[in-house]
Amino acid sequence: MGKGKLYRVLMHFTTPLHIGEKEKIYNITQTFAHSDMLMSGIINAYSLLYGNSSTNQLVESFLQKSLPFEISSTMPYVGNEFFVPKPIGLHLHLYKDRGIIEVEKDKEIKKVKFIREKDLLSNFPGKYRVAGSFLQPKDMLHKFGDSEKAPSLGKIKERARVSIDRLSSSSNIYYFSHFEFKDNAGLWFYLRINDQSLEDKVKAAIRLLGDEGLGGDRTCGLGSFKVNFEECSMPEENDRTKYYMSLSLVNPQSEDEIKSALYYEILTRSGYIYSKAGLGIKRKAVRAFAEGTVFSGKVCGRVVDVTPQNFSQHRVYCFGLAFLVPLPEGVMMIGN
Amino acid sequence: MDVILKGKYIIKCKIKAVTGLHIGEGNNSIEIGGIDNAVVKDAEGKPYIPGSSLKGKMRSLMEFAEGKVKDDLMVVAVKKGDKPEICIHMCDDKECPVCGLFGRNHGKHVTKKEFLKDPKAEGRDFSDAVIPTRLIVRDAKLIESSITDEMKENLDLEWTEVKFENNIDRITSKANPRQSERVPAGAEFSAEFVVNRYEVDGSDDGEKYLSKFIKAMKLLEDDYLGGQGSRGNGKVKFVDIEIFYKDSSDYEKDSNDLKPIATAPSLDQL
Ligand SMILES: [Zn+2]
Repeated sequence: MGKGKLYRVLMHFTTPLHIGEKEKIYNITQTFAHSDMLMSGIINAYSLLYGNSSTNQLVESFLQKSLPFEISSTMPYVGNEFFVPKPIGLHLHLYKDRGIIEVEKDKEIKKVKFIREKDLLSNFPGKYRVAGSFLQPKDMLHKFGDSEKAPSLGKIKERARVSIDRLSSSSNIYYFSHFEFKDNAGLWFYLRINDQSLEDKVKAAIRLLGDEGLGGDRTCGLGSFKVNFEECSMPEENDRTKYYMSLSLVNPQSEDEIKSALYYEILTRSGYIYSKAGLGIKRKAVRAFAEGTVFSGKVCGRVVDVTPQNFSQHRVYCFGLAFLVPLPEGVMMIGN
Repeated sequence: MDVILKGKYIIKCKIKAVTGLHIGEGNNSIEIGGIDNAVVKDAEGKPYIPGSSLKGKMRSLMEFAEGKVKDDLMVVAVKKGDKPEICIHMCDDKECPVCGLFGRNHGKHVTKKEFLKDPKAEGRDFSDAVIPTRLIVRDAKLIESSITDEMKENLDLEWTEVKFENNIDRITSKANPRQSERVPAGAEFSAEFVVNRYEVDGSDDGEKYLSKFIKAMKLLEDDYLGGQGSRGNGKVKFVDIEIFYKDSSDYEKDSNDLKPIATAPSLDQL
């Protein structure tokens, strides 16, 4: 956790978004970009703007663990409400028993995936309800329209793609799904700039990424967004901070970091190389702690070399650097 | 290879449906009470022109115009057994205007010529020539006000008309009436295209790909978009054209108001 200037970066999508969870299976869609994918998008945009040698220098500083900047994964926002993943291991049943969360059926609690950041970081000062996959203040329901029970980010739609033979005009059709965000909803992520001399360049790369698009089918206009950088701050930690939650994927750099994961999920990250060399070659798969993983102390994570064998154009990396937030004192975790 | 972005040409314009326009959902599932040949619509139920349809059609027209539709310049995109089902042009010529503008796919490609000789031919990797695709085509959204109240009186649905067509089977002479949805003539869509200007290993694209793209726009005006073009559907015209240039250094600024470098009411006046 660096000490640089912190921004909330708002991505306001101007076109639908397609993020494939399983590569080459076009009809499965996932709405969020993990930190490794976002980072590779930023680095690619940086390289388009500033060329190979500056980009190699930038990547080298990440490898040397002097992080020029840090990012989280992308998370949803609706209106001015910023959501973060529910910390894995957060004991919502205890919050219910204390009258903080009101539910009709216990199983509603299981559905909670996202919590407003400010509620989590102040350990739930009000009364709350479960609305779809969101936990939100009881009196907030009206904010998202009378007819809707839960804040809605948008809609999943199916898209057809057709390829047509030039001479016979016979056609081949395949489908994939994409997500259309509502006008007042989108994704956001944290950006912390540690090397001030790079601030303008990193922001430029993120703006360019917005024009180029994130996710699949970019050249057909998908995944474009407008960027807004809002300066913000993180709650102070103190000696009594017991838990740190990750808002990014984390690939642990040591045995100690693995041991400090108290509540976790593990994801496998794989896929194809995307770069200017642009090859449809599979990179090595790596495993990482998912967003929402709770650690007993600060962890750094690392950048993993996932260059496949017999691939010589350039190195391929998966960013598994941790972006942490301290959880507040008194937060109630399972078994504790 | 070092590829640096010099800037972006952003082409904003309206696409006017000169005749009725049918861009199908490609979905033949029939909803009960629905239309069996519907047009694509966005989440709000308004018809739009998918970027992929525009891009695909323009690519195909450019391939013919640039003399690229030949068995040794086409690759097999989809095969069915030993038959090359879908072939499109793709090559590793670094100067190719079609591939340079519309892009190349990753992986190995087998040309139609090679395939016809040997359906098991492995093909070649074009990786050495792969650079990021220059052209980005956004979905073109319906301009609601272009569908006037007067037009609405003649529409069957909120934004579209439904025509009955009588297809007659050539062999059995059996009539096969079906209904088909169209966006009415006169409807306008707001379109945006981006042509990236690169410097590849020190050599600057300049305006080469911008002019190739304008050629592709002209080719489309002389052809048709969507289905049933041979029956007069899908004639479109680009109107109220504005071209902007965004320099790569503009990305370091917080906001930038771009001024058009060219404007024209139609392509022939550009
Ligand atoms: Zn070519």
